[in-house]
Amino acid sequence: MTLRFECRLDDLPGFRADAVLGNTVFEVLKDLRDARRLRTTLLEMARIAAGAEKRRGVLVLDNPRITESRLREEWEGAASVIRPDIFRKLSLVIRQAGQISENPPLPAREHNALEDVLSGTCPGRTVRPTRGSEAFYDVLRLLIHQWLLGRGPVAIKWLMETAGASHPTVSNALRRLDHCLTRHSDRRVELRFFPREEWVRLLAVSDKARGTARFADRSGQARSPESLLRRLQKLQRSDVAVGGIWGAKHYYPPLDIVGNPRLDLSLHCPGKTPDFSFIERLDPALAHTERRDEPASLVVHLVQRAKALFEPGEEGIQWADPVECLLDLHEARLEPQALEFLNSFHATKGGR
Amino acid sequence: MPADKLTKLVSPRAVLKQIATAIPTGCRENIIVIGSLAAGFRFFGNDPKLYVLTKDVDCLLSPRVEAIAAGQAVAESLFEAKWRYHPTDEFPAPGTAKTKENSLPVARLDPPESTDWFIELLTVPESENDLDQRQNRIETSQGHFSLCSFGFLSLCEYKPLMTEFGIAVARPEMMALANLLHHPEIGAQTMSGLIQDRRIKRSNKDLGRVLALAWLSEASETDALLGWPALWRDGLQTKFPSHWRNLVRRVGAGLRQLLEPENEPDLEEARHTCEFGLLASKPPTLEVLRVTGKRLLVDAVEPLERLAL
Repeated sequence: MTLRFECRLDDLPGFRADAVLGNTVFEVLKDLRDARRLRTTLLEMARIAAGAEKRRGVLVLDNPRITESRLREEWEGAASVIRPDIFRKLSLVIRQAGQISENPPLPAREHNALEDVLSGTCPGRTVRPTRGSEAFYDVLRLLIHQWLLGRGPVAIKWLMETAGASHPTVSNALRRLDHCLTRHSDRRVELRFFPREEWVRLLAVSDKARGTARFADRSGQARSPESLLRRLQKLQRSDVAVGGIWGAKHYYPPLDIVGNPRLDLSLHCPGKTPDFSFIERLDPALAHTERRDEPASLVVHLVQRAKALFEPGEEGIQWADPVECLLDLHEARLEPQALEFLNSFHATKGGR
Repeated sequence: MPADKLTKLVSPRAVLKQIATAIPTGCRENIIVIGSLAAGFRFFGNDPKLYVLTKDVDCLLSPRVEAIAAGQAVAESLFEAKWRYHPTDEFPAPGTAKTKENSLPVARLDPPESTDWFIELLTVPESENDLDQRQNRIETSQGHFSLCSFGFLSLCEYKPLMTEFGIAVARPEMMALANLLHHPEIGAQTMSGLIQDRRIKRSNKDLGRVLALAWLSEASETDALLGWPALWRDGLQTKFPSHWRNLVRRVGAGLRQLLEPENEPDLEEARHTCEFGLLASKPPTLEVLRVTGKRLLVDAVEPLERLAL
């Protein structure tokens, strides 16, 4: 039985479950502070459980900011208004300071899936690089990276090691890109031109492919990107690099843009759950948000291939690679700047 | 937002000017205004339309060696200018020569023709080891009073900010530090008066003040909190040279306790005091106060703890 994430349920159009294992639907609330949201979610879970005879609902609270007594009150309150036959199909799981409590205790297969449910529903969920479509985009990005920087053809071995993908996976990706590749006699490959069609497809799925996570200010006094950057420098993290506008300007200083509304970072987390703990050090007032209409002070993009390709800078800063920066500009809807940045490279001007 | 009958909206600038005018010129340098009025002047002083909700103006007499004489001179001068003793239910009249030190009323005086606020005279402890509350007698023509000293008030003496009126106000950073040290844990003691009809724990009020000062500092200057650790360390080394490192260990304890999820009712009390105090013009939510507290820990408390290693 496979654990699936972000699944639709046929009887609930418009709804996407955080995770599904067989007949069990998991919903995860992280850092819950609002009792009203808890009540709403409990009713939603009841609706989910009522939708199919054998379906169960498991509500997982990860690091809730509501007291235990209040949580118990809300759970008991829900029990008093939900039909007993439906309430029996619900469970509440709380993870606090690494400890897990279950009410009532989960069946073994649900209990065993909890760790994956929790790590799989982290902000910017890890997309396992061994899955075909994500590996294809990793290979595509690497080829564009080499092409933009005029570094010439690359060996398949280099692609495998840098992407962290197998030979068959890389070969499949290269076959899909055959029409825009030059294959040298020594089996090295390079792009002949910028692969616009594939690039547009990548842009369409880049949020998911890159596991982008947005963080908004909760203090009412958002820190400037400059302030966040100063703090990042002090952290001296080797797995974090600056992208977005700053990164683009690192590669192309004349980029036509004034100001910088947010900080884009690339976080290198090859094949593992991303560690966002450093964000609390940048600003404890930053909280993950999934609302696109909420301005984000910080946006973190995951780099999940084996090698980060960060470029070392000065004073504790690393720079994300130019393809990441270009994707960041698109994600920020800075289309003119993205085009200007792309065209700034010698390769796109037709030179090599 | 209505004020209760004890707490009024006052203009920090106007009050400081009135105090400075009434105090002998020679004594002005002995006065450091602390508390909400000091914070109000620092953060709102340039805007004549902004007011602070307060009922008392705490004036620290400094340095200690001159405090008694200065306290007497200040009180006499204020009495001459028609200031009056501020009576309370517990102390309806000034003390006399027969009144024991610990039964003397605190030196609190109302300005002429107003009961919107009163001045309260305090002083600093005699030494770094003297952290208990002490009552120091001052004799005036109107009776005997107590010049109270306690705990970490001496930190407010450290690099105060001089105003154009010739009297100084304590730095918000040092007032915050004093409050943090006063409350290494949330105690059960409550305020003697209500704050907008609510009985509030003393710890929650003072720690709420710390959060308000942190919030206002960040609002007035980007990354202001980053400058607090060095100032705190220097202030502690100056005022508590023999055991400042021990004190550093307790700086964050009460704040961390306040931010624990299970202590949300205490944080709510702190929020309430902010709403009816320094942050009256921009009442914070619980979440805002919580993240402000976390910012203070990350930017100021933790770096201070590292400096003390």
